[in-house]
Amino acid sequence: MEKVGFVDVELVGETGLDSSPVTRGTLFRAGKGITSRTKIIGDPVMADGDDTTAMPGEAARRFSDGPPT
Amino acid sequence: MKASFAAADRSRIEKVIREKYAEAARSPEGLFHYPVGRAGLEALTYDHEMIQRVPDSVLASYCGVGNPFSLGPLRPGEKVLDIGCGGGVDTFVAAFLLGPTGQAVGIDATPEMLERARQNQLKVPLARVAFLPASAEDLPFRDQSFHVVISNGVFNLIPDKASALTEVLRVLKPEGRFMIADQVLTGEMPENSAARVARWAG
Repeated sequence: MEKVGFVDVELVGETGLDSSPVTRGTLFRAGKGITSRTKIIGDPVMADGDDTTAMPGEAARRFSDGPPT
Repeated sequence: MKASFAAADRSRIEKVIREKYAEAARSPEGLFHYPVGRAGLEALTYDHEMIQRVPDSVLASYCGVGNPFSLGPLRPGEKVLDIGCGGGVDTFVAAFLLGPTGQAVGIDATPEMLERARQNQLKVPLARVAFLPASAEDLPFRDQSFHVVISNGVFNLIPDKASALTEVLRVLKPEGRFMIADQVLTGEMPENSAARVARWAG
């Protein structure tokens, strides 16, 4: 995770649910810095409350239309 | 860190995973080495009150390996992406925590799982929840779309983890949080290639 640019990467602990004898269920958390080395290629971020996600089809309509009545 | 697979190996891995999770979409019971459904959620100490708000028929589709919500709070109004949402239980929990002004989006690459999530959605009275078909290696969202990305038992299945992690970083807002429960390898994988692929699928 650090190699791609995450910060504050932390192995928090094990979950106790293991999928095989050679694997362990684990919990990680990581963050994105205030400035990231990830190149911004999309539209500028919109203010919170706007839909910044590009969602095709039915889901996008559901979000843009607001909650169903 | 970039995964190096022959195309045939990648194809085989994806096929085995697709087949396993298509079956899990019907019922995960007996397919995993750990408790699933309500038993799994209780073993992982999900919030009891939250579990009670979701019908048993929806909880039955849960096959996560950890509780990503134990890693930090979700704040009302935030936007959360659930990578590899499966039947959508974690997406619903996120939506409950986010409240009516938040947004929770679940993606999954297995069509049968997405269909299960959408069927489950009919039973859970939540707006601002969406389920979309997508691969973690190529997320169909603009940069800086989400405050939080969660994932539960999925990244271990992704052939190109570096690409997927780069995508997570891209879609997170500045100071966004990635909260992940997953399996990590602690021993040797089987030498036999067929067994390795089967083990990959969990």
